[in-house]
Amino acid sequence: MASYIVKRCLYLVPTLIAISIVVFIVIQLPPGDYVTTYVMRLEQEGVSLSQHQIDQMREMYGLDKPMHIRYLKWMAGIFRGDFGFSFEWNRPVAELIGGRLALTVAVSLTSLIFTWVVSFVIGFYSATHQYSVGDYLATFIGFIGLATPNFMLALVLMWFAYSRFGFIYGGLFSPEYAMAPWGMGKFFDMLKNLWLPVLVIGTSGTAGQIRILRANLLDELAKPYVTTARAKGLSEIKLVLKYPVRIALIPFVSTAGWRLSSLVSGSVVTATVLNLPTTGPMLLAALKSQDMYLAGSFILFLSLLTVVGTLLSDILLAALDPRIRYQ
Amino acid sequence: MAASKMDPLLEIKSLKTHFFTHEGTVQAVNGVSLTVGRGRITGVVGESGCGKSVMGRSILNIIESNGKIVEGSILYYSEPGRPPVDLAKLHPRGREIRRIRGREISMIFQEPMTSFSPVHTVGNQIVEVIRLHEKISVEEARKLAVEMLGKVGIHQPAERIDEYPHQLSGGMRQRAMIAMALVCRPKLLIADEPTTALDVTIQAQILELIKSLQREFAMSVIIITHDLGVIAETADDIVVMYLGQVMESGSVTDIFYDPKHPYTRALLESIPRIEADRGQKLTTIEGAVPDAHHVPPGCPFYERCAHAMPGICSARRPDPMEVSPGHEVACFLYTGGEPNE
Repeated sequence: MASYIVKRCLYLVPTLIAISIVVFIVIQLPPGDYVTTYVMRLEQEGVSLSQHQIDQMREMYGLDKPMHIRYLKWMAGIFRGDFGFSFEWNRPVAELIGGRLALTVAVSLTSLIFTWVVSFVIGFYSATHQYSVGDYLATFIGFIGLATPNFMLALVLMWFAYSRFGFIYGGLFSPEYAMAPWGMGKFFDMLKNLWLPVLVIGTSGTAGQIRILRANLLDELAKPYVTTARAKGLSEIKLVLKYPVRIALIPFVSTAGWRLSSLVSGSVVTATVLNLPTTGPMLLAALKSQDMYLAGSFILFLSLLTVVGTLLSDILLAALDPRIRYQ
Repeated sequence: MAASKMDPLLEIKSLKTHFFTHEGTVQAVNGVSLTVGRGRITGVVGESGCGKSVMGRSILNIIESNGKIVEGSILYYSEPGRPPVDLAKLHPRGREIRRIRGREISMIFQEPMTSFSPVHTVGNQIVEVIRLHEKISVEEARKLAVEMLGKVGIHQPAERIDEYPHQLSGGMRQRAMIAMALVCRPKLLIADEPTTALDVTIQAQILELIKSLQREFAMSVIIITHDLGVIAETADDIVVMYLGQVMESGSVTDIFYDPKHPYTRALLESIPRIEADRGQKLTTIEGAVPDAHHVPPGCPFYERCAHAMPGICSARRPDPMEVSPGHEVACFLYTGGEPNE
């Protein structure tokens, strides 16, 4: 098991290097560079620059160097914690996206855990009480959850929270904390507001996961090894939790990898309605203006999340299922 | 039957196990009575779908959730002379039946492939059953498990115990299964088609193993199978089942050398024989087992029987009657068509 984990972690290095190269090439594939878009914008405003000025600007941004040199410089910077400079914002990339990414990851992880806990409990109940009233109810609510658009649910919840409890949701932080530096007060304020986005983002995945767990658990409950366990004299709850649940959890865990990044880049509409500082809009703007280091760092982070998520789910899978470990 | 004259371990009396499905009630076990003698091997034989497996599972009350024992009793005499426990009356999820499962009565199944959890080691699953029934430490339980694995013929048991089921061959898995079933020294082993999924050579080894362990532990065994060869090799007493009912029961000699019921005879005739002439066609039983949703009112074998007496066999069910000591048959041919109550 330990050697498996080490091996998988080592695989991570070439994967990430390959991804960074591809990312770097792809964001520069459109013709021109940031200076081209900048000059074009200036020309639209009636300002024209001489070729010399343009060349100077290229030199200043380091855009005159060949691509592989730029790549190496960028990578060397990343190892020192410097993700390059955003031309558009005139600020270091790290400063721009650091807090934003941390918050997104926090919101996503909480939503993911929420999804898992809720769908595990409901899916487990549905499967062990198949065709009972509770099962039908869970299925019904699950399908409604699946069919309701997230932003709609967000609006309804915000209205409900306000009209019933007088709770005003304006974003992850209340106005008095929005600009405040981090501290206990700000942290608790975030927790106070967090439930709404977590509920909204979380429920979207819950319905699907309930169906997956219910179907898998029902399959597993009918397997001969469950009968064997019963014939040994194990109590029903013990045997269900030890044997079929462990196997039914495999699809749960294996989707964690790609869920992580999809939660980060999540639906733009929902993020806008909920006033969430997700990465989506900023990334889009950076790509449009060819703000290459900002866009590149964003994409690199998203890839990193996917890769790390996949690694985590692989390790969990290996822990759950020995047949994977021994291949 | 022969065993009933002796000391019984298990007495099943007019057991009915039904399944309630959307298509209607399936009368899987429909009034079965049989006796398992202490220290004897009882073979239960019948075609697929005759209810023999459900009968086996009914003893431990581990039938699927849409099934239920609706009638009859399963008397278990744990010690001679002590009053029996009626297993059919115990709550299927209750503590009492769970104390008996795996400790007093164990079961092994047809699919050694899927009867172990694929994600737990063999040792984990064996230690679990020991620790469930005996208050001993993990180390001691492990020692017992290794010992038992050695006893069922697994080489290097101390190493194999930490392997996962998929690392063992089919035969080894069934051996491990037997080890798990017998590790608590049960008084009764129910073997449900224990060799059906195995090669013929392995089959013989497993049957030999079950027989030798049966002698060593002085336990009783119920072997459920569709294979008369398996029965001939192992059983002392035989119960022939058809459509959830017992057609004939008796000792091995009774059934193989003096079969009475037309169904038993037909079964025996449908075994291929080496000494048969070339080109001689194998006898088969015409038709198929009727649908268990619609059990005919008379003798269940009536429609396929070569000796069926219209108006008698189709009208009512024959009750079992003793034709010689310990040899019972449920057929009107032996009552002169008269109800034999």
